[in-house]
Amino acid sequence: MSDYLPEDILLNILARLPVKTLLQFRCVSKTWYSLITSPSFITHHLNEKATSKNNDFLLFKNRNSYFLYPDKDFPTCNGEEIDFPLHEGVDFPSHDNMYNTASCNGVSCLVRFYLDSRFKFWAALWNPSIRKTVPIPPPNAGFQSLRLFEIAGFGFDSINHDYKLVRIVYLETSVYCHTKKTKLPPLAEVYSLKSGCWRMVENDLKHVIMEYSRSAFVNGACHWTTVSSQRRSRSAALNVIVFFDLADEKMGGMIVPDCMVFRDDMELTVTVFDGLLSLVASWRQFILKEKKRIIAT
Amino acid sequence: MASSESTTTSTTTKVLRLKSSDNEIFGVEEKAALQSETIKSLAEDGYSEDVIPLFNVEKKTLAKIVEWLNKHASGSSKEELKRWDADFVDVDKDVLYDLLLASNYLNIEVLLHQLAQKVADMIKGKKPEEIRQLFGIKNDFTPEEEAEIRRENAWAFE
Repeated sequence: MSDYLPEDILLNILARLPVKTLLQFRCVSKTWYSLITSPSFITHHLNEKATSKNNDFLLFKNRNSYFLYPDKDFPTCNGEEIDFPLHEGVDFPSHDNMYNTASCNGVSCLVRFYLDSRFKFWAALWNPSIRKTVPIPPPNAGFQSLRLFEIAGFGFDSINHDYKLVRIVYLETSVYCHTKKTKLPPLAEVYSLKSGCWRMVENDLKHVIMEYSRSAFVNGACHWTTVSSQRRSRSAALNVIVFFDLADEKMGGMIVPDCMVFRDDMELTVTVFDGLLSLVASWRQFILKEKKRIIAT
Repeated sequence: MASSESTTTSTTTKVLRLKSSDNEIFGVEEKAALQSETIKSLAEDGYSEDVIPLFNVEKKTLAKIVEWLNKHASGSSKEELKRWDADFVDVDKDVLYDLLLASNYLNIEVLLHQLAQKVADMIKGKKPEEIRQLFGIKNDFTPEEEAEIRRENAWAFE
């Protein structure tokens, strides 16, 4: 194979290699370096990985240790402990209460809400495969004690080719709305990685998303389950999935399977299973193959 | 009636004649040959009655390619094809290289993918120095530049 290998064939071969191998192969030559680090190759590699499905990793956190497990061999395989590239107390406040709000294309979005004389929000993007992090600047809105709680969602807007983080903040109000004195609609802000800015987004959300819930990113939208005790009329559904579409930046809702609509005796969460949105109850898992939107956006 | 029957027969068993760069002619059933997009468009351009010249493929490589085309048009079971393909790509690197170029030129996507995967499996886990040797690549980085790249992701080189 000592002869010249045409670039398209070389790219075809390289796109099948694991990230770690590619990072090493950058120093083969200047040509290889520029091929491997080019945005078009990175996209090609991502698509190759997405179709092969064999190279997914699971990221685990145990206090301040992080582990990567190859998905295809889990749980029989050994995980690899990876160094967390940021320093506790310097780059970020603490590993406590920090969670991975969602992962998308191998990029994990770490979020931490914390109280430090006033409520603060910290977030960063982390690609564990290449050990790189990108800090996210603080959002525009600081809400101090008026803030009840907030949740976050993260994903890739494939229309605008942009990674986006959405932050939904529920404020307290003296008007009793349901179980908590939560003001509706909440405030919503979106961070665009491309523009590097936070921006408020209008919404007409009439549901309270479950506190501490992680978002499930699928079909271009972040999904969450809602607090079930917010029945406004006897016919209104108790359990609703709320979503935020990252491309048009609009909120919406969809119904859960019939048997779950009025259940108030179990906690529901959403996650992604095999590329589909799935609803996890305490003892059963439903996969929603079809989105049914019930709330006009 | 008779003519229509003969037309049917001739389309199902039509043989295309492929000529290698060193003038060897291979007869391949049309169904098998048309797995190559390049042969397909040459055949559509009117070469089908005559010999289809493949200027970029030598006879030893074309023989292998024809073997692959025939096997993949033979209706073998999925499992059998999988085993057969694994043996087919299990060749030394020079043959692999010729097959890669030929399948790229002939635009046989399935074969190209198999070969690219074979090379990927072969080079996975090799060191950059071994890659340079394998592909005959000259290291055009200065020692400082190379050290800098290694430093950027030192963990990947452990």
